[in-house]
Amino acid sequence: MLRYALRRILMTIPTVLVASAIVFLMLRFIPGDPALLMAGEDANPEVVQSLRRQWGLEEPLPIQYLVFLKNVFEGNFGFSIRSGLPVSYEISLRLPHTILLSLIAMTLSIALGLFVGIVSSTRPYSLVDNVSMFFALVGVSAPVFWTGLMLMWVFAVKLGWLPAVGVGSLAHLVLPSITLIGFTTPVLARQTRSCMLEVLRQDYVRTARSKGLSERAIVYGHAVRNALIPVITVAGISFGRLLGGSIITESVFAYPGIGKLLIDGIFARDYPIIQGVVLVYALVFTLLNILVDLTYVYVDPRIHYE
Amino acid sequence: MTTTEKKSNMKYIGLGVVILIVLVGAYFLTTPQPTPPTPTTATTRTTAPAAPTTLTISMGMEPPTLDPQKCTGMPNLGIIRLITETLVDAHYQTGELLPNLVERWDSSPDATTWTLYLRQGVKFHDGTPFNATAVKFTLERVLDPKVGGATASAYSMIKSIEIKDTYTAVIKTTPNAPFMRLLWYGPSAIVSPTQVQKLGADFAKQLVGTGPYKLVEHVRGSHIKLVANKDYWGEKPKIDTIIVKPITEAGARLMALEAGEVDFVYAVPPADIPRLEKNPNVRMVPGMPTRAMHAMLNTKWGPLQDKRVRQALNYAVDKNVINERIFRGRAEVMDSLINNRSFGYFKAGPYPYDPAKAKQLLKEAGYPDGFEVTIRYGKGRWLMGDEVVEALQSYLTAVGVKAKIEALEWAANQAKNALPVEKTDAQISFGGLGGVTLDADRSLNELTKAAWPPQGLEPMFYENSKYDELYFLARVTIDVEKRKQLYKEAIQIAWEDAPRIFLYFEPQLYAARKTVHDVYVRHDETIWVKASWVEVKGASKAASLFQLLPIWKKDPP
Amino acid sequence: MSQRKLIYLKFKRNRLAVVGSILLSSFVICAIFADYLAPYDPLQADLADNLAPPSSAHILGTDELGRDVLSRIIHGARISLRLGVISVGTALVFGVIIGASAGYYGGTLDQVTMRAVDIVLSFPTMLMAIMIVAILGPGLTNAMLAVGISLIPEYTRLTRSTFLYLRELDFVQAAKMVGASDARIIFRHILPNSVSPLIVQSTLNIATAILSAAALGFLGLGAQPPLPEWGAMLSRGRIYLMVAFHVTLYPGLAIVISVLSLNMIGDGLRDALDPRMT
Repeated sequence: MLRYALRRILMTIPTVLVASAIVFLMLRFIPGDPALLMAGEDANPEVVQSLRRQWGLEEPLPIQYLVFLKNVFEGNFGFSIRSGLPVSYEISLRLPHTILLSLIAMTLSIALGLFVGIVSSTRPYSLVDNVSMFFALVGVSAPVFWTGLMLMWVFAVKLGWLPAVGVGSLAHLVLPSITLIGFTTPVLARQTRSCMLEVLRQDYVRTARSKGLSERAIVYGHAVRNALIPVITVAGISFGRLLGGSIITESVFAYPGIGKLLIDGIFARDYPIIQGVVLVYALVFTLLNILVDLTYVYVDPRIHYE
Repeated sequence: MTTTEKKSNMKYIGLGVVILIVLVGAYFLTTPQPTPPTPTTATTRTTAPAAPTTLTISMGMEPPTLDPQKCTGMPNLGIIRLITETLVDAHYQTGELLPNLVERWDSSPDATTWTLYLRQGVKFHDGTPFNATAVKFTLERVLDPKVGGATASAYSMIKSIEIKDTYTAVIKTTPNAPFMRLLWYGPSAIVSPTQVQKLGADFAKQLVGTGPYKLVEHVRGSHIKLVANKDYWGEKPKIDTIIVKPITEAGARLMALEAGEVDFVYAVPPADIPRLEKNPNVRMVPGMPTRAMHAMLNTKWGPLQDKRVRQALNYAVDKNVINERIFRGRAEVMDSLINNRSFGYFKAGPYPYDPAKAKQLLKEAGYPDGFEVTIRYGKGRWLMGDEVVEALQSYLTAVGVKAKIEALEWAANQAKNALPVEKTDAQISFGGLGGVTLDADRSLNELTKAAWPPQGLEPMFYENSKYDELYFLARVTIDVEKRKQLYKEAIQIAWEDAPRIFLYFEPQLYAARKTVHDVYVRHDETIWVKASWVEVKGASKAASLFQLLPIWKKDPP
Repeated sequence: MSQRKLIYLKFKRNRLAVVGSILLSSFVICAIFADYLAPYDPLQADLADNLAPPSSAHILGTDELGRDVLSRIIHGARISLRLGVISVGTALVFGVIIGASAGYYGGTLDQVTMRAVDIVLSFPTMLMAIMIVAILGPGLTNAMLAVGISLIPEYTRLTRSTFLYLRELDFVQAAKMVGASDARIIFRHILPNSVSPLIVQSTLNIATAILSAAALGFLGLGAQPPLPEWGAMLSRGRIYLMVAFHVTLYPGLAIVISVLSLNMIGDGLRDALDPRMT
């Protein structure tokens, strides 16, 4: 299993490299001198020149890419045009917030989604199933920023129970978390339910039932285990949904995470920041995908014995 | 263990991990609250309370730099003026000039020689003594093209600065009656020569001055933290810490105010005023509408080169309706280049709302089907800026001028505005100019050729030699009536040439929590905290506890 | 009974799917006949009457510039549906071509394609769309492009796996043995059989596209003012949350209902096309 894990991680390295190349190329696609783009249009010519040297902008493109990689490895993502502070520093200030919010939202929505999905699948077409699946359907159809605004309106504006924007206390986490959870749970619930239904239909389940096993044992012992694989796939995909949703949620609630940093950076034409944040997101997402793959290994007996 | 039990165990472990993470995260992310004070008698007092107090201010943008000679944006300068001070101050209500770093001053009858007697025993935060050397250094910095401050042209009447002795400076200017007012204007705030020489161009990151507050830190995109200067030469500040937070979105800013996270906000949308007035924790703080808001037209670009086109744009916009509907009548429609409280004001307009005339003028100028144009502006700085620009777009489109909107973050927009004529991409730029000195000299300066960016703030590249002639003559005229006449003629010329779409004077609407006392905003939008103090926050601000129950309910809107 | 008729009947029995179809038809009608259905010009600003609550003159009220909200929502349907169809259509064409080639020919082409897909997928879709807009600049067409590009990998994967599966089936092998050309095999045999998952996926993807574009519009990166795109309308109305709630509520509902109808139909199609469900 360890060998599989190692192999899997090694396979992602070329992917990560090319992804970083895409991020690197991003800046080069924008019309204009990359050095000016990174320094700001009214920057000191000396600053612009030193940037040119630092990022090897006078060298041919492949060398530029290597210089870029070297800088990234050293943690040098450049300097924010807006603040003049290192991009890595700006990101480090805000990354904990994003991680906290995403962690809470992901854990709770996996737990909730699995629970609802399993329960619904064991009582197909019942009232419980129909109601929860309807809500899940609406949840999948609602834009995350709209749910966020509506929640803000009800709980922060009208009732005044919770703060609407920013950070500073546990209370500040509630509305953004609920918004995000409402965004990712429905997908998980629906997928879990359909995977579970698929499995419960199988012959071996019927066999188990006729053998006299309790419904509970069947569901948890057999069905869930087998349904987990496609569910884990969906969980993996919903990581992407979560990351995307968190960018928007952070904007709605003025929550100072890296998503808000990215959007602010786009409006400020702060390309070093844009580059840095996108890179971080891509890396995090890749790591999450590796995690998903490793969970497969744990869960899927077939791979176990490879 | 069976699979079932393993699964339940996992669920418990998972739950435990989640709770642990959440608690740890909350601990690290909760901002430290001031320690609650030992209980004292009254809550309203005339002397400052013993416990440390904090004033949190929020505006829609933040200073791109703390260097007073380079920073633009009056509210930003207001923050800088808490750290560095100008030679004279102005009363926040009457605008009357008051001694500050200068104890008294003499001016020659021909308004060319200004003798400043400086206050003695004043030190910068870095220990450097304040004296005439610092004054000379700073004023030279204002004018220095290498420093590149955008207000250099406003100070161009200065011919020389001489050090007569340690505490006396003599400034020689071309004849200029209102000169002292410029020594109150923010960009002339005195910086420490030793610091600038030691640290070079980046000195502003650790700005020191003579002011009542010291800079602790400036985290871009997050906050600025100032702490009271215990050795301040004047009235000791009663507030211990001042925090400035930029919140671009007006709604978010107001929510922060109402939630108590912020104590004082700039730029309150008029639509929210009735609700705020009903809120028992908040009060409105009024200011004077002296800031001219307009759309600057690049007179060197395309169709805007033709005067008729520019006038057409002025006829196309209904400023009264903008005032009524967007500002609830609290703005003042622009009828001149400067507001009516300033010296030199002359009523030249306003351009009435006449879309038919606009279309006719466009046709005469050769654009019967209009043309395409881009309106650019900086977000967060101007009250209801997004709405006004959208309204502009719709009025222009209605007469055939298809306008596209380009919204940038404020500093990015300022950077674009600073580009010289050969590099600029400006077409229509929405923005404003404060009537800071209450004198036409400062405001009318922006329309002279000498004030083309980067020496000035507005990308109009307007060129009218007669205007320049009148303006510079007025600058050196002492006779009050003659000056007024010259300004009248200059305003008439510029009004007719219409290098801007003249819109309105921005209402200055601020709001504060009732726990904050005696905070005012001067008419130049700089904050005045000399006598301000903050009530001590007690146990009711339990922001670090999870509020599940409605401990306190907000008033329904 | 023919296969098609069977599918149709199964679909009809699904109540949600039918409701979805009705709702979607209304949106499509709004989109096509917007000019006739909308009571006012969606761009006609009447600043003197802004933020007016719903009334008999303006059924859903007016927005911050005095424009009729109902008319803007109706025209917004045209923008959103057009956007959804075009971006999904583009993604479909490119994705299917790439995926079919990879699935049919296999070998190096397959390996390279799957690597490329993996790389693009290493960015979350929303992030990819934001990145593309950050490069190209904000605007409706760029948003369409961005959303379209972010959807291509999905189609590639789907088509590829379908082709891989179908390629091995008997009737395809038979056609090969008889000597049919690749093109003939692909177009006459494989493609028609891979249509159903593509239809389901596309319906659901139009829903996703509308949501993504609305998100971009909300962030200010998509449709620019004065276009009546639902997401952008929400973002403008946001500061009036406390005083003129209707400016935010109705465009949001429009998004929810239109996306919901598409999802209902997509679900219904999936169930109807599933041979195992009766």
